[in-house]
Amino acid sequence: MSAAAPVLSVRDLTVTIGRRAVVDGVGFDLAAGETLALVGESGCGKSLTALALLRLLPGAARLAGGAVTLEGADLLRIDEAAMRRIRGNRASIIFQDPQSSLDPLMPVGDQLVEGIRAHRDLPRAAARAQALAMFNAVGISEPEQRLGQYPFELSGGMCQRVMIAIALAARPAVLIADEPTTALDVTIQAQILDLMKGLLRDSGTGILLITHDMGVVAEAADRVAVMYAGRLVETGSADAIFGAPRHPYTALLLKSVPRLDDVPKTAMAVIEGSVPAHEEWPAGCRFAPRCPLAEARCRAEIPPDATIGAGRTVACRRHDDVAAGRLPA
Amino acid sequence: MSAPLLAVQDLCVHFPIRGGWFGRAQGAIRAVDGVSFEIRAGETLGLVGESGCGKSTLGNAILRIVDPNGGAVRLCDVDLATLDAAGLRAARRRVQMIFQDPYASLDPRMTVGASIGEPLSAHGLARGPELWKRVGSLLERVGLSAAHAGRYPHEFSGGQRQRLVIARALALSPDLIVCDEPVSALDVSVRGQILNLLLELQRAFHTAYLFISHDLSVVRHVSDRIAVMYLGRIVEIAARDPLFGRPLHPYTQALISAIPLPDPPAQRRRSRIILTGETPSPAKPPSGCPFHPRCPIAADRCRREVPALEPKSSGASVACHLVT
Amino acid sequence: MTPGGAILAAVSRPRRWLAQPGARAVLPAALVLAGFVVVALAAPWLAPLDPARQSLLARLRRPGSAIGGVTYWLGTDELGRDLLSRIIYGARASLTVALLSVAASGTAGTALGVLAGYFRGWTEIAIMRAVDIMLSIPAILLAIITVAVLGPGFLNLIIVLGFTRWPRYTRVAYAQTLSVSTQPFITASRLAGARPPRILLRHVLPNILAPLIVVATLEFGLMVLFEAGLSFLGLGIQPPTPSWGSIMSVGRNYVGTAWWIATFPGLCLFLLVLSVNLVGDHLRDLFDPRSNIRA
Repeated sequence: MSAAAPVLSVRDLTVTIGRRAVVDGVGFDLAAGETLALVGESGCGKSLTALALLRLLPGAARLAGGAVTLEGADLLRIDEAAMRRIRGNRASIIFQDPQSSLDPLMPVGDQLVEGIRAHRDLPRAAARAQALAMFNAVGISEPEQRLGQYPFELSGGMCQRVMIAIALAARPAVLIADEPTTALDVTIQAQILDLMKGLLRDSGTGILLITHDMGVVAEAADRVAVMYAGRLVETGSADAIFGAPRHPYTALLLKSVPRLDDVPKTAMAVIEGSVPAHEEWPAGCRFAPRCPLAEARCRAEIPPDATIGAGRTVACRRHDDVAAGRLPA
Repeated sequence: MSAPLLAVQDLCVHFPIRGGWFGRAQGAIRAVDGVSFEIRAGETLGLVGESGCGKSTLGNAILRIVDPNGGAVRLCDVDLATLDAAGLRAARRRVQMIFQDPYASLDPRMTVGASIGEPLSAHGLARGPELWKRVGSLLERVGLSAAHAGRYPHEFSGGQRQRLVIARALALSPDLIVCDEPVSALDVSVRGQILNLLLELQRAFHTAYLFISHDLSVVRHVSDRIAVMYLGRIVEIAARDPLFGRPLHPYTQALISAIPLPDPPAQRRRSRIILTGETPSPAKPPSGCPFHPRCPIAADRCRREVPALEPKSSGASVACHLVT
Repeated sequence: MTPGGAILAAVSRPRRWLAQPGARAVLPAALVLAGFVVVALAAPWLAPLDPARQSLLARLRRPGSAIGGVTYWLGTDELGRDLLSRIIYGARASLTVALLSVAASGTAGTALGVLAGYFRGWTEIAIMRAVDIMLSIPAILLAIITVAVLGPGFLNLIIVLGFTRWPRYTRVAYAQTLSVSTQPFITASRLAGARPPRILLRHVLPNILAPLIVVATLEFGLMVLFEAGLSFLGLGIQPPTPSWGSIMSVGRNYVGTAWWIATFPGLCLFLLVLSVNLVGDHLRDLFDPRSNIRA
């Protein structure tokens, strides 16, 4: 792990909808060339976190506090014009459904050229040549032909490659990928994750990978931050999180994912109950209603973040019990 | 060896592509192209494949939600594919379906009790207090309470809605339930609950399942035997453990290798088969073996001849020229 | 909750309904609409004078004039008839015609749209082509031609309006049925053994009602205007039965001298159509079990 300053640093990020904070004091660092996975299930706030970083919050969601430092600038405090110069240029984002992220009425080559020329003063011919080179770099077959095709003529995997090309056109410092492979088949997912790893290794871009799929995390992430009901419950390196999880939610989540090496046709480990909607978040630890280790003090107050190693934090009062294996299976 | 519960033979479902001046058929999407398999009573056959392989269409064709263009679907000795409307209605008491989207599987304007009881009232099997009693017991069977019957679907979470859908599917005590991606739309922490429920119900009622999914890990957890589909054809069908232990078809091998293990050190150590290219469109399948353009071991013969699904010595059936 | 249940609940528990966000805004409109309905129903008891009673002495009198011991609150028309009474009875005509024609065209149009959308094939082709043909003819022109063929009068007016408006409902019902029919719960119903009539009545219809209600309320307002328009042209309700349109038609000639004859019926038309539209929007929200406004 590099000791240099992180390229992206988030502190105490809070997003509210109405009066409720749906992203509640989230903080993490992303180093150059590193992939940080932000994992959580639906409704935990991970997508809102990603959108908040680039000030793209939809509808009634509002930024209510925190600091996001990208290459020295606080993204939450600069003006909109400066923010526009950063989006697509120093920080890019790709979304889940590639076919609906592209303009259906514009050929994909033109969309990439538009992205290139938005941040760099290049004549059309030069931009087009660069677009062709990028199509090659992201592994699009028959790139010359594809430049003139429309999104509906391309498959999901191909469209996602186009999105990656557009996102990387300006060689950003940070790429935010919000569930980039969820809508893709598993064999295409393998291709795309492989592609992203290769490209980013070369350019030194840091990736913030948002996903709910622990398999994708294991495949692609160097470090992991686990989110539940608006808060980060655990962070650490991928090996540490998978090998020795310290938060009950992380441990149970890992146990409840079917694996190719467990015993088939037997009852799976489950987490009782279901993910609460944000109207139902309890006052204390938000995982307490479903946690087999929950005690009175857990239900009373939100547990503080405890640092238990270099880059390793956990928000649980009983994390030692989890480490000692006292979590009922 | 007793007769199988369900025997599908050479099933074909082709969707015509219409175009031209009068909407003439100009070709067809061969969604299901000559599929054959069997399911025994109380057994789970997992059906895996990626998008466009035809697995959902196959499930729909078995239930006659979509009409097949050829082949037979024998439930004991009744061919579902050629039944008339009245016969179909009677036959549907023995085969039911669970759908992928828990948010669209229940009528939003009916109470869940009415939805669950509909199979019983539509067939005239129960009415009034007797109906409510049976609905109540179905609710309890799937882990909810009888008091929930008067509520509306939007008052339940995704996982609970899927339980309601299962309760409705059980109402007529079917012999076979086709599960079309039943847990794909649910949160990861809730999937296990639904899978456990399905396993428990199978043990209690000896129901057979056709479990359709793109997620091999989930399929492995619930199935006894597994069929792998690619572009409308079954390329391999085998018992679960041999399929994962020694996959024979190159596509099966690539599919298993593409599933990431939730274990970073183990994942890094694996040798992966990463397929090149994209899945071809079912409207223009390649000549010969449909997998040959992406197959790492494709030979000349594969471009010319379509391989038939043939049983091998290990007990598995594979459709590949290069597997002996 | 069924639509009828929703309305019943709103009416029987008014305090709870009023606490909801949307209800306060619609209360004035609902009261105005209710007011019109009451006036129309109770016309014989509310109208101070006989609307057909002419009086040559009291022609074209200003609102509030009193002649021979009788006060004409809204003035008189060119034949000395009390405008207020004529307007009150005119409400009857407008509301009845609008309600019956919406009921007729709405039922027929919805039924055709649902059949076209559910059964597809030749049914769909035949019905939707008929819709295209009907919609390509300008509405007022179609109404006028039909009246010219059938002759004017109350019943014919309803037939005309019903016949020219059904395609509006059909298009909406067709599109909605198409989208609802693809939902898994419809498939599940079929698998459960439900036959088409049951599916159409218990599953499709309740789920497509909301946009149809909105169409019906807009149409209601429009039918009030059409009736007024046709009566204005002399093709609708015939004298001596009062209708807001025919009163305005006469008032047109006296705008400079007896402005009240055209103005008061016009004002009533405006208020009625406005309140109908506002209530219709609220009803649509009420029917959606997922919206915040709930009875």
